[in-house]
Amino acid sequence: MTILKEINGSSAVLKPEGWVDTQNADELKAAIEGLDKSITELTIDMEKLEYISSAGLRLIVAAHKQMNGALTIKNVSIEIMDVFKMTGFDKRLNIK
Amino acid sequence: MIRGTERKNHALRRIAAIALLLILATALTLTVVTGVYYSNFTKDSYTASARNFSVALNDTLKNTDLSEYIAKDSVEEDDNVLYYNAVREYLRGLCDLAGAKYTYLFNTVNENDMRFIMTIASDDEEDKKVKQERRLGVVVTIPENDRSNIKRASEGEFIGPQPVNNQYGNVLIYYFPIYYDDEIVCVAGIDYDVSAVSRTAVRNVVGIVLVVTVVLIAVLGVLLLVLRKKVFEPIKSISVQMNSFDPEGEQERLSIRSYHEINEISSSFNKLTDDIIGYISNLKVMTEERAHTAAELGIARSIQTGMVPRESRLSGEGYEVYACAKPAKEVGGDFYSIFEMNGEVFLVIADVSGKGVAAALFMSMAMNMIKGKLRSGLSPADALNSANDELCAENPEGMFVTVFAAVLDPHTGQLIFANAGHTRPLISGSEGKRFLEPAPGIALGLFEDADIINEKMDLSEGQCLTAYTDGITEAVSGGREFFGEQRLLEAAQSGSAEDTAEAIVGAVSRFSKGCEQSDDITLLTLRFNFEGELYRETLPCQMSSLGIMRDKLLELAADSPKKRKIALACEEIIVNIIEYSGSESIGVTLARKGQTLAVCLEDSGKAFDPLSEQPGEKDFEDYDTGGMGIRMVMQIAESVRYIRVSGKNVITMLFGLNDK
Repeated sequence: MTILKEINGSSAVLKPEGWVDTQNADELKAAIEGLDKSITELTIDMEKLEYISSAGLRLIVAAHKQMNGALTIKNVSIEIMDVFKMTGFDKRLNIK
Repeated sequence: MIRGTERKNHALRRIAAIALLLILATALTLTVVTGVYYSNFTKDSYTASARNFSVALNDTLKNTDLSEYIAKDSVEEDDNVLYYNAVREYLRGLCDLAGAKYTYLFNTVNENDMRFIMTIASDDEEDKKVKQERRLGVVVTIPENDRSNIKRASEGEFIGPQPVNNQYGNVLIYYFPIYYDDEIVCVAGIDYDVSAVSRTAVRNVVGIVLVVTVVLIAVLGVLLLVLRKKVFEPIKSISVQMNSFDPEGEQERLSIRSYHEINEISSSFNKLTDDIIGYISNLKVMTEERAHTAAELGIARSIQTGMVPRESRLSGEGYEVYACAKPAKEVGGDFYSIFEMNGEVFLVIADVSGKGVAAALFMSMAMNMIKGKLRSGLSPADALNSANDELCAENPEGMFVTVFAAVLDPHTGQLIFANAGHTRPLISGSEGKRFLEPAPGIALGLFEDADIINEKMDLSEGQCLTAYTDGITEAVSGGREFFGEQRLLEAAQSGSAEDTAEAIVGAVSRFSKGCEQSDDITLLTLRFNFEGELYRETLPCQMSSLGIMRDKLLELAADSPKKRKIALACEEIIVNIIEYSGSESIGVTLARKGQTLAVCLEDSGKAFDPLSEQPGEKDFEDYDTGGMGIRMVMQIAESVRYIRVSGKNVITMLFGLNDK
């Protein structure tokens, strides 16, 4: 899995590519937890994300908490949107 | 009863005929005896009279020298004549007195001829006649049969009586010598006329015999009358009563007054009548009861055959089931049930102890109970344990039932089964034949803690499970041998379900040809006909297995737009197992057939049913600790099942491959 990271002042954009599953979720976790404390807004760009399992979803929740709600998800594919809908994430996340 | 023209042999007539014959014989004997007696008596009295006469005659003639007359041919006309006539007259008086018919004096000229000296007849007319015809000097030939008598008399013997029937009538003749000076001078003959005496004798004998006969016949008549009145009529009325005996109708009682023996028969008959009426009414009750029982048995049988069809077929995607039942003569307690529910195939085969209505009723109760529990979603073992609890609670007859129950997932070939003391089933297929070795379990209805367990096996394509009752293995041959498991194993084929079953049933019926089937024969075959792609592997219980499984899954479902979602669901489950079960390995089955993918994951870790711990709606903020996985699985999969079997957690998920 490749995660592209883009920092712009206090906001950051993470762009994971491919599959996020239990085996490699730690990479995404490390990327989120490794963000500087000055970052207060996070955007996860899911344009290149093909798959996310509950391990990845947990990280999204954790990131949402870490940013105190300033988390934006963008470029969500229909398939991943379905996964969000299954868990009710679509109602709580800021999805663009 | 013989009726019509046939001649009847009536006892009374027979007795009368025999008695009459006896009477006639008696009369005949009496006639002979009295006749002989009479004749002897007559002869004896004539002989006595003749002896006296001979004494009197000799006495009279002792001073009369007859020799001068003997020498002469006639009496000359002198005083000799007078004297001759005087002697003759005197002798005639004696003759009359003695009752003789003739008296004559003669001597023999030679052996053949005799010469009369004097002849006297007591009858006057006759006397005149013989005086001429048998006068002095007349020589006649002595009849041949008289010659020796006359010779002996002339030598001094008293001869007689000699019965003769000649021109002088029916007479008794005596001959004796006449002495003069102690010398025999001539022979005297006396004829007694016995005609009258004989007639009298005959009359008397006939009279006596007639009287005796008449008296005997009269006595016989009276006897017969008494017999008729006191014996035969009562017997006849008993016979009439017997003939008209109608155990259903009013029975008149016999009241016969006769001799002891007849009264005995009559009262015995009355007793017999009472007994028969009693027995018949008993018999009627018994017959009605029996008919009732037979009807009940018929009902029991029709209940049984209604519940357990002789033949059943069930087939669908991936399986075919064939079942057959050959009930024994008496209603037994075998049953089977096959049905499909929620895509799974259920099999139950059972054998109730005992026979008859009780077994049939117990069977029907047990069958409905087990079927109901399986339909309510219980696993085979849970269904059997639960049924056992109820059967133990309501089992006053102490009956029990052995059961083998199984459920097949036709998507994966996974067979979950539970055995409650039933015969072990047979597995046959291209890989060979063997007996399944289920835990023996215990028959239901005996103990409350049956603890039946679930077991599992994965059928491979074309494999066949054959479950049966002991009517197969205990079928008996003419040589009193059991069919047994070995022959069963040999008979099993690996064809279609029906072919496999028919091969076994055919072998059993050939084996026990000519012997009555003593027990129900029930057989059930299940064939797993999987036509698709099947992947079965045992993977180590570690995270690397996730990728291996997913790769296979994505390969099998490559054409499906839902493949990633399916992968997601499978990941959630397998990760759960890897992280929490503590198992060493994970059994993975992926089976694709058409637009359905079945995934079965099993581990031998601690018992854990993820479905039972489905979390409720959590706050979004709490999802970082997990709890989403199962929720997603439930939404992605068409069905998810969990079962704990043989120390394993088994989760089976079904996915539709088409996008909804």
